[in-house]
Amino acid sequence: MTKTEFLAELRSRLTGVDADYTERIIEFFSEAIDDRMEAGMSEEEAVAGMGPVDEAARNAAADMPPVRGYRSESSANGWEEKHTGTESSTGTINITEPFVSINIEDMESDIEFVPSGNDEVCFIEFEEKSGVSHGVSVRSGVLTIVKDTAGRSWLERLLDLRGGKARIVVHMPATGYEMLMVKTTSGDITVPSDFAFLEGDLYTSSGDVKCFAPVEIKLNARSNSGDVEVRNGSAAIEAHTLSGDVRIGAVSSEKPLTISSVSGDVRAEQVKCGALNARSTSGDVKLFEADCTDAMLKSISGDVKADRLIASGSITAEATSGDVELRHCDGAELSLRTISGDIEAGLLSGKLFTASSKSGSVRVPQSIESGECRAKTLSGSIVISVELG
Amino acid sequence: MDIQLKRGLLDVCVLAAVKNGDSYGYRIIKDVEPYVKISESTLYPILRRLESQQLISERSAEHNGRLRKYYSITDAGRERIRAFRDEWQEIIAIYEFVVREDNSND
Repeated sequence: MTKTEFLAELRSRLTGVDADYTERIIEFFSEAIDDRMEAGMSEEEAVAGMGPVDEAARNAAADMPPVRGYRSESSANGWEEKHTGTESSTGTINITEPFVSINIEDMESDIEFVPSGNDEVCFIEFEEKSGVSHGVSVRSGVLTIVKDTAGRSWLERLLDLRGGKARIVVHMPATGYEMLMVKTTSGDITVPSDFAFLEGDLYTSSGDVKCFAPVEIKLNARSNSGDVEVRNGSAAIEAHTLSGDVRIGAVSSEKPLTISSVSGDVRAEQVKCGALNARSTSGDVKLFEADCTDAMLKSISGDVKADRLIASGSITAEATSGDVELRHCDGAELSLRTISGDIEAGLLSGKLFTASSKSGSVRVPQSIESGECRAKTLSGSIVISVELG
Repeated sequence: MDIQLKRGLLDVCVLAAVKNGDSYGYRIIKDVEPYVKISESTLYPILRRLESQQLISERSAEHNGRLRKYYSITDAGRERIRAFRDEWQEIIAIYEFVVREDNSND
């Protein structure tokens, strides 16, 4: 391949790269080929020394210098800016382009949303570590903030294990948005009730998730070792954590609510939903003032407790070594089970009762032909009452 | 070699290649190549990165009737090399800790 061919090929692969940068890249390779030829190589050898042209294009375009305040002509291309941290850096980027959805991907930053106090004003505050930068862009109505650690050496990253905290605060108009996607590794995610979303997907590995903004269609909130708290909204909710607690409140929908923890507690209060599924392995499952179609409550070694839980369909409450306790609850069909715990239930209407305990005492009211309540424990006791009025 | 590791080392190698005076693309490659594999397509983004971090500066000068870009280290670049030396001590300490852990499991 000749030098001219190589450079033409390179240029054709740099589409989408700013014209000035393209020229700099072309100049660099043109000069590199000249230098090799000057050192005695043939043109062919010199060009071969550059390596594959697609690799050259990819490398060169991938690591362009920070773009600051760059605004393209076309609104489809949107706008982008980059904030790079210097020693204990703080900075602000103003967003002037409108957006309806938000997508944030980060590693260690806490991510917060704060009402900007004005419908026209939007800016992002960064507190970050040296060498870390965030690319901010608005394209096709999506505000994207992505962490870029290209400026850090592996040494800095390795030494980073010693700690330090970073923060991204998005100040934006208190209004409704379409989609909110946030992903961070060790940061907390906080979304206050000033905003509303159609859909939300929030994930942190070791931080906490707090979403108080009403979400309408679907909300996914997850953490591995942190707590997850969701309030408000009418979405289908999935909230999970491994070792933290889950708390849900003030939700009103017809859609499913699925919440779980492995070693933490799971709690829902003042919720109205479709199918309700609440599980913990070693923590407690607690419900207070819940109205749903079917409820499935399970814990292995924790207790399962519900107060004022009304299901139009069935209530299944199961524990293994914990207790099952229902107060002021009702459903068409109830199944209460534990192996070594006690079962205590106060129901709002009579049922056809079947109750058994191998070694404990059993006390249930007179059965009537309406609905069904089965209760079973191996070594615990069973006390069921019907609260009239 | 691990990509991150190589990349981090390449940054410092390129700084080292320009620390004793101006150099240009092809000469930097020849100077660094015996130690770490490097080509123009890997050098370009490194130079851009070092320049954007103001660790090197760039100037064009005439050479044999054409323009050639020369790179030189800045004070911040020298500081970066010093920081590398300090960091390296910490890495060696970590390395020794890791190796010692290994032995204790034998």
